[in-house]
Amino acid sequence: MINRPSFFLVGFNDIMDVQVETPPRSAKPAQPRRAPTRQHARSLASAALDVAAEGVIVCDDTLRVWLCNAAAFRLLGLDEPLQLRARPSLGQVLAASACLDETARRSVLVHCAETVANGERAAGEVELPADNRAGTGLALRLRRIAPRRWALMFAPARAVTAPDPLAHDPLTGLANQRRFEAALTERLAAAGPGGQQDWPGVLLVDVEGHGSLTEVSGRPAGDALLRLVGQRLRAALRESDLPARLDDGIFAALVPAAAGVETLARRLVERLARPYVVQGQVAHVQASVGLAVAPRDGRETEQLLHSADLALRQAKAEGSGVYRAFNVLMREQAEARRSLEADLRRALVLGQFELFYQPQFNVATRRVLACEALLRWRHPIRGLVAPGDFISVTEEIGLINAIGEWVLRAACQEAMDWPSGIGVAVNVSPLQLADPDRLLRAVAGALAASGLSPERLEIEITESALFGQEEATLDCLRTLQARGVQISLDDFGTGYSSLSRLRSFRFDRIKIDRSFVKDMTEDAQARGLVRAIAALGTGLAMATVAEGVETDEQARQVEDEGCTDLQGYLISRPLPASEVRALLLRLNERALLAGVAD
Amino acid sequence: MLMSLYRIIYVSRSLLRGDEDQVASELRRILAVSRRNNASEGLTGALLLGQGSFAQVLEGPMDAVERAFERIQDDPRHADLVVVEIGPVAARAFPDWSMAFAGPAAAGAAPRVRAVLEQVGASPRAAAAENVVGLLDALIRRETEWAAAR
Repeated sequence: MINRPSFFLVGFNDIMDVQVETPPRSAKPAQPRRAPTRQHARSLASAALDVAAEGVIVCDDTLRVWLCNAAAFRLLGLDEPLQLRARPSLGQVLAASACLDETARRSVLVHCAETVANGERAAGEVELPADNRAGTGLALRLRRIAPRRWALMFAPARAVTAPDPLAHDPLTGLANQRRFEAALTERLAAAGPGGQQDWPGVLLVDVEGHGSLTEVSGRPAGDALLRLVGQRLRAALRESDLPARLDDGIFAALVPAAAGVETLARRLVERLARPYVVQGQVAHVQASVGLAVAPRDGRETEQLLHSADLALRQAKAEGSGVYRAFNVLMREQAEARRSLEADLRRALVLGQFELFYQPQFNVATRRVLACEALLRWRHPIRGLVAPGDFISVTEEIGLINAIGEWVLRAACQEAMDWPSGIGVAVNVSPLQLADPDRLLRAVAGALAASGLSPERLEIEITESALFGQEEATLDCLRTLQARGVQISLDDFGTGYSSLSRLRSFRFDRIKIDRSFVKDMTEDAQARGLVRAIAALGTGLAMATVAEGVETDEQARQVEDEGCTDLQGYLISRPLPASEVRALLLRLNERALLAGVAD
Repeated sequence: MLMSLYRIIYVSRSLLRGDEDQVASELRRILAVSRRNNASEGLTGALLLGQGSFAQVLEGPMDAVERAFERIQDDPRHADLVVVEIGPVAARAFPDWSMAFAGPAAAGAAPRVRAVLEQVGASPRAAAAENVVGLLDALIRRETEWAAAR
């Protein structure tokens, strides 16, 4: 940002006892009438230096100061006249500054000493924070201008005008969202058609882990950690890049869309995940980075940010500590998801949901005991959609309660058409159980509206529904059971199967997951598990349903192992409501005949 | 107010490349910069390079230790940094800046360096920290003797 002004090069001869490296290019007097003499050039150089906005201090390899221009005096607040003839050390000059505190002074000295010691290759910039007494902060750069001669140039950091408090994140001092987006818009415009500038790229950085430090050690520790993250982000970028903090743990960087940008993303992930020391303790964060570059991933501010956000989501979905560059597939997936959500929101009103029913067969009575209601979504274009393809989305967008209520009403209503002994089992989502009052109202409403007797209704819950909120959930289930509703535990053996749970609530039925039944004819261990679960059921006076029974052999084995009920294609596939009544009549008639034949 | 004394001990993987002389001179440069940077902040400590790893002890006021640690983190000459210990200490183990270089002068120390570095991940933190301090202490003497003998 600080260009090497050509006026430095004029007249060095008399300040420093060395040869000038390049001839002067500017700062010429307007149309000189005679050829400039050496003396004249000297006074011009001196005058130019003194009107320059940048501060310039020239020193040698040992950091002895040879020259200090007027801007340097002003910016450093040097009130005392300096005896430059005595060649004071840079440390002495800085010590006279009214604007630099001890820390700032030290960082300047360290930077200069390292740069001089390491030669040109270490030349870089150091930025002093805005809280030094200069008010705006200073950006410094040390450049070798001749053998053993260095120019320390400095200017107010960033804008000369006072920083806009609305544009800064007060915690980290980085740009805030507003400023970041404004800068992105500017750079996109500058790079657009006919523009001269490079296209910009956006890195979105999600930092996780500072929250747990805040919980353990308090808000100041969490804030200090975020400040350090901000510092590391700034340190990883170039001066012309723009680091920002957009939200709590969301940082961003505006960079040129050049070849090195993926390397930068990878480096950020690595650097930000290195350990931190905050308030005397070690802290860690995980950083995920999403990357989008213009014009490929968007030519407008909003589109480019959206692309970066999609890439960030992808990175986080793959586990934190990774970076992902945006690709078109991400947008397609996001659009597919958005359209699925929109369709689902309409589906209930448009009556696109329907229930299929699968009979459950009782071993002892040889009759159908109940049918499990299975939700299907019949969409004009998508066709018949299975619950696995949409239930999780309805849960995420908060539709599951409304759909669950419809299922309860429809299932109770349709069961009224069946022979009176046959019950209906309805699956209930963990999210429905998380709102027990609403679920209890929905069950009561469905029973009242249909006139179905509560004993014919069975609520199936999964083990995960009990996870984390056991007491409230169990209270709700006990209330339902007290009203006569049957409660069964679905997919037993696949989740966090806990025997203490079987003890804390008396389920009416345990459903043995289909994976065990599928394997039991081949796999003695699967068969052993089915036997053990059936024995558990017997011991606890709970019925056991073997799911996924497809062959006669499986049926015989689960019966031998003591399961009380069977469900699966062997009995019947799930059928639409219109066909299930006929099937039920037929099955029970056949059982009756079979019973007579016995 | 009496500033309480903090100590941080870390090990990291060295990314220094070159023959032994080049590495040694780079290490001297690191140490020279460390001395200059840290004297006025009240920081002292010891640095070891051996078996491709750095081990460093830094002692001083808490905020100075934290600032120095951030600078160290950003140094491209190493990676995979693991903090072995951080916490208050009663006294400095290394009141002067010291350097241990487990190069030719300390060839006999290689097995011990390796053992201590391997233990960093395995043993309890406090024990690992004492091991690192002990190792640095032993090797620094050796280095001093080596320097004196030349």
